[in-house]
Amino acid sequence: MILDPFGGRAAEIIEEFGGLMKTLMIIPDYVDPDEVIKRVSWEDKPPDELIDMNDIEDVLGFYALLGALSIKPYGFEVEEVMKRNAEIYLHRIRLVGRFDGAAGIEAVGREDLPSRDAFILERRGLRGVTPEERENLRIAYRIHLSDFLKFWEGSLKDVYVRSGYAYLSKPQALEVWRGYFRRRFSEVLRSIEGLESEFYKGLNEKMGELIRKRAGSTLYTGSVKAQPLRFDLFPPCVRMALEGVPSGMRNYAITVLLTSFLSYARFCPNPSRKDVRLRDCVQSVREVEEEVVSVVIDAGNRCSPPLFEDQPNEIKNVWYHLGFGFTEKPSLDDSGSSVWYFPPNCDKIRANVPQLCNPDEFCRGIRNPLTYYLRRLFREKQRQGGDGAGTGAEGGGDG
Amino acid sequence: MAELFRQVSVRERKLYYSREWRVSMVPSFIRETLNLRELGFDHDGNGPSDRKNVFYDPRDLEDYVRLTSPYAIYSSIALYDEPGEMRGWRGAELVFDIDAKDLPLRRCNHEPGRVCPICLEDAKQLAKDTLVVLKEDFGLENVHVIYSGRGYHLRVLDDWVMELDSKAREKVLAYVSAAEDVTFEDLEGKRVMLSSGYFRVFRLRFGYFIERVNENHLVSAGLNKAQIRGVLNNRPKIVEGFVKKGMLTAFPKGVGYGAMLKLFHLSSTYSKAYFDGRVTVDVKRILRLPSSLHSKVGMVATYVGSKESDVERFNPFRSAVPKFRRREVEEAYKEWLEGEGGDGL
Ligand code: SF4
Ligand SMILES: [Zn+2]
Repeated sequence: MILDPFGGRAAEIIEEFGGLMKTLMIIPDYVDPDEVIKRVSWEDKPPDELIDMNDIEDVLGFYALLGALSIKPYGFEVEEVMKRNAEIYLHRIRLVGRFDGAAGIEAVGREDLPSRDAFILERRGLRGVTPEERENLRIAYRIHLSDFLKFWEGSLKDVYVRSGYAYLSKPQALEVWRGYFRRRFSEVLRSIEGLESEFYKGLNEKMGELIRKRAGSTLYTGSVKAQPLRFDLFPPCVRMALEGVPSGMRNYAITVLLTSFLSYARFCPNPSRKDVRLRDCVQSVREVEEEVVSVVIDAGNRCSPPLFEDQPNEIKNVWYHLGFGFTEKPSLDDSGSSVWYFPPNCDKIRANVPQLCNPDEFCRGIRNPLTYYLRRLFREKQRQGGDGAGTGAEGGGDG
Repeated sequence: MAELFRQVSVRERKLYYSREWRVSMVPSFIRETLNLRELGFDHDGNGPSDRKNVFYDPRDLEDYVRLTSPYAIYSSIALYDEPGEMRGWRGAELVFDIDAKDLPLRRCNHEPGRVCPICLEDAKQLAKDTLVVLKEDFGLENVHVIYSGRGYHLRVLDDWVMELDSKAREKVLAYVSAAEDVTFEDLEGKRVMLSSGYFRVFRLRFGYFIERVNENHLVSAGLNKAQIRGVLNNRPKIVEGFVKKGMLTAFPKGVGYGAMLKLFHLSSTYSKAYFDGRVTVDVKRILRLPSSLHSKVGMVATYVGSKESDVERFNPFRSAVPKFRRREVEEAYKEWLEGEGGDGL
């Protein structure tokens, strides 16, 4: 069973086929697209057939998806394929209880730590810790700091450091592994260029369809998360931007309006002060990436011509408007480097891109698209008699 | 009155570079990679404007320096395929810069922006603590301490460290400078007592803090009178029990978790400022060349060593004084001892 599609046995298999590009070339002859799609289409938990599978089939299926993604290497699809495939391998890792050296994680025993430190880390002196919690606190792995610093998003304070190694509990090791998978996934994806075959284009389309359908069913009706976005309650201008706009309007509609609107609507609908930063409202950059940036990128690429294919640098501008400065790969600490741009008022929107504003009945008396959304959200909850969006919604910032 | 530190003249610079300095005094970790480094020169004291120089042979550097007797010499901490263009970045030393003139918690009374033997001694203490952390926690083996003229540089050349990007260096800096707050959970869960890792570094920095903190600091941290007295009267016990062994019982009665957290927070606020973080995070920086003359203070940037004992033994007023200032500095040091500095050291 392969535990790491980027190393060990998987790397050997790719080597036997003559390297990554050669492997990608032969994949269309060996692989059935409908089988491969199963790696992405599962819900809740990966099915057994994906867990216990033939090594070669596994590797070819995984790289077939990477090949298909390389046709359009950004947006929702990448996140989805990455997350679901990571789960397949994580599932196996949990099953066999080891990492087989993936990400450079090695197993250690209790005796590798001073006993007093192990005692403290496992909270053995404290009452009210269940055996399961204790098991999750136990130091069971270590990883050299050179790798750890690459794969861990948090700080060095979070882990036990000694003699060049970070010592990890099982949940921490799994988190490191996720960071490793993410990083390798993006690196390999970036290294694939010029796959033009019908096979990959077809697979890309199939995959896109599936993922959009799923995103539609969760995102648009909302209620998966505490404060999911209710796309159906968005104002007309934002909805138009989401659908993609012609070239003259792209930058304003996508980078300015959509970015600011989605980020405030999702993470900070009622800013308490003017200079609020995204880092005050989220735990990690990943949330922003998954819930805002990927939607923005998607909408951008629905434009004609696709915005981020045309202007790859524009993604930095998106981060800039989110307050992270002009950057491609921000960290949470970067939040505050620039101003987190507040959604423009309706009169600004009309002045810049008049075509965007097609007011509907709810637009009456509205001066800012965010207020539109919050007011409708508020009314919706009232109508359902729910405990609701909170009374603050009505006043939501006319910026 | 003789002076410990003073600007040197052009004539004195010439004297130093023609009579004393040889390129063989440049530490081998730089000489051996000289052709991969960018060199910068400050010819007149207005900053290193003569940049992007490359010397393929140390003898060429020797000739150039002899000829120009620059005000200051710098070399890149980064190695490049094309150092003259700063292109083809191959990696950079990890650097910690401790400047004695910017240290908080000073034990001396002169105006800020100057240095005295006491501030330099404090900088040395911090350099030594940092060396210990780099070796023991990070397992680093290729670490060099340099007296910079007015403080200390720690330069790390282990392969894996050379490759780190700015973000990783920020994390290392936060760790080494104990910049992150200790929380109530850390106290309650006893993590603050761990014998290795972040909390040990934190306690090390806390030891430096507690030995220097005064009543005013503690008032501003929000401690009450009894707590302040308790802390100030029990410094050795706190160092012995808490800093070295991680025992919370080393704090006197009346100093509970609340007061401890206030102390810890204050300690972190200061320890962040022991280093110039910009130097650590910048992977393309240039740094004063060891063996070159720091013309503003009239001292030589001097290689100290890579062991704790080297740092311990090092005395800049013996080992970092150019020959033409020996007598003057000796005299000034005596005067200083008899005067203001008498009981400080
Ligand atoms: S009136 Fe404002 S909210 Fe309504 S569509 Fe126009 S810009 Fe959008
Ligand atoms: Zn001083």
